Amino acid sequence: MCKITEELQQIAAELLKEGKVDLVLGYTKGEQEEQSVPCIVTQPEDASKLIFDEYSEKALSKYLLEESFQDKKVAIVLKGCDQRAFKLMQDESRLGREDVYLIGVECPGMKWGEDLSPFCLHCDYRTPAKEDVDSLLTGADIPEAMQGEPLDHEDSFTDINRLEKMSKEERFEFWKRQLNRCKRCYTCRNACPVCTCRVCVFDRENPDYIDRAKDQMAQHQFYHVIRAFHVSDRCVSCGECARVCPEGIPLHLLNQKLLRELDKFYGEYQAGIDEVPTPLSHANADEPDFFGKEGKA
Amino acid sequence: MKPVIAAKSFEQLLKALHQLSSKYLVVAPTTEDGVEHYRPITQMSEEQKSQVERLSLRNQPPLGSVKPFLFPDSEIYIEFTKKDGKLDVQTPRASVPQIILGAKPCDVVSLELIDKVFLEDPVDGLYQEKRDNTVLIVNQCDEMGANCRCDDFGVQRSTGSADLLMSKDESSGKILLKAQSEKGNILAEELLKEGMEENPVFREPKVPVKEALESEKIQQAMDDFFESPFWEELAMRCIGCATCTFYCPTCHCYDIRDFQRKEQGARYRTWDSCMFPDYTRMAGGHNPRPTRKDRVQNRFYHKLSYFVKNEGALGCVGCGRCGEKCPVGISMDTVLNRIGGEVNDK
Ligand code: SF4
Ligand code: SF4
Ligand code: SF4
Ligand code: SF4
Ligand code: SF4
Repeated sequence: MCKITEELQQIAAELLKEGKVDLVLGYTKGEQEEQSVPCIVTQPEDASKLIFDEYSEKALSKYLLEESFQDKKVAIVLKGCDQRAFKLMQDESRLGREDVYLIGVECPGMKWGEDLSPFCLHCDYRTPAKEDVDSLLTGADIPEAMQGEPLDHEDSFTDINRLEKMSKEERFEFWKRQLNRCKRCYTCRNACPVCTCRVCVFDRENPDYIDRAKDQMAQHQFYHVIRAFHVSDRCVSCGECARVCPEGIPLHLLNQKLLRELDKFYGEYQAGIDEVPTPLSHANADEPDFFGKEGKA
Repeated sequence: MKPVIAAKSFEQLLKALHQLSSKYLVVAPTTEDGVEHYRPITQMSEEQKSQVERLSLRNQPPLGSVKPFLFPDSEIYIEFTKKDGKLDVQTPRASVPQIILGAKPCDVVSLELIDKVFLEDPVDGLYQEKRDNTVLIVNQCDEMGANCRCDDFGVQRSTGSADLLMSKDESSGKILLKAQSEKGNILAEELLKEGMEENPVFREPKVPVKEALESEKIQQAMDDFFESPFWEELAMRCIGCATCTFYCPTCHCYDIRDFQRKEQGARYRTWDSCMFPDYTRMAGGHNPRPTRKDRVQNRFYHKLSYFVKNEGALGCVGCGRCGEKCPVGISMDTVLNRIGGEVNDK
């Protein structure tokens, strides 16, 4: 058993035994090979179910906003990106720091099929800062590719470079083929720790501009363009949206491309690390005015 | 006498089916960006065509089932336009004869389960039309895939309403087809004209059939389990997406919507999911299934209890898709392994 898992089980058992929390939200081994799934432990003797490994990819912070977690005292396992998401929820007044016990873990980087996630190769915040969590567990087995300096955006998200080089038509064809498979199951949205609107625009009853049809390309584009913008500056780079999509649609290429552009326009910004407001949620008087030439300024 | 016909190779079978594509829409499993779906063979690239044999003969279903070809994810059934103050209403019906190559036994049974719902009075015309127009060429699975649980659900080798059974004779490389319905006979005749030959024998699959779960027992165990705290736990883990329902070959819920633009519009039906909160939300805002626990329970109880009571069969064919794709690893086993009785020591 790895050091983090061992310590995690100890802490969880103690917290539950001492009645400091009602439940510990972490990961356990899934039914499939190479799968870890979210796990809720309420009894000290069940703490031994908890693990943390390179398949513990789900963003657990998202659960804290769910109704069934509201009236409970929760301890939660957070790796770097997940802690960023938590911080953003806190900054956006969605939850209070004092309501939750945070168990930060040093992250070895998560899998992406056979490889390591491009998000993780680029990540320079694998381990939450000590002062941001209640306990910090370190000593993960870090794979070689994750040691040393993280890769630049261009070197980890190489598929974006490839898309940038395509002609407009080729790029349109690429996204048309990909998005045509979308079933609007909303798994990407539901798994995303920064898709946190109280009522998502796509759940509104009968808005005039969105349709439920699943064979309407324009509607899929609409969904994805809206979502990409809503998460662009707030994305904490966990990679879950693309990972969970049953249709294998590379959603990360959309929001990471936007992030790349935002960095150019507004300077580098890392959601959940840098101070809010996020670049797109406010405007400064001296900002470039993209609409001015159309007379809409 | 049931005619058995043979193609020298899978390639020959595909060619023969291609020849029939002016008459039938022929769909077969392939991959697109690595994702497995049934697609029309006339729209496949050479690369995609090269995937068809492997996926058709594989003992494991592709991600997408055959269901969308009989019950499309979105389907317009009324179109209306306003002209000179008058409303013109059209009912587009465009069902064409179609051949589905490489369907699996679990797909066949899933359609038989949907039949129980859609073909009972009042008959669902949109579905019936396509069902009548579809010829299923079904692979005889020899082994089970990693996530397959068809044995539990008594589905393995169950090929009742398949039109043609398909099997590969490993020694000669021949692809054998055995017709077992009127539609199957007609297609077999047509394929003979396209160069396939009669064959004396069909190769039966070697699968040992395991005893299936007893539907009434499961239903009883589920009913006894209704108040268990297990459901609260499971609902806390579920993220309420629609993956499990949209990829399930037996799920058949839909919503009816209108699409309107100025002077014209359409009425369509589109897949709905009992995992969505608005699935049961009524006009006025009341929701009889207000919590995720209610919704998670509904999904499992519909398949493992209500369907047994209403239709006399379990509403799951054990294809494994939901468990494979659920983002938080919830499968049918997650529940079956917990409901006690014999099921537990599986
Ligand atoms: S982005 Fe990857 S390496 Fe960074 S904390 Fe998240 S999972 Fe770990
Ligand atoms: S998870 Fe994939 S298929 Fe589902 S809504 Fe998102 S992009 Fe579409
Ligand atoms: S947009 Fe995708 S990568 Fe970004 S936070 Fe959401 S799920 Fe994670
Ligand atoms: S419930 Fe799951 S295993 Fe059963 S038929 Fe549906 S997708 Fe397949
Ligand atoms: S796929 Fe999994 S997480 Fe999504 S609704 Fe179904 S059981 Fe819940």
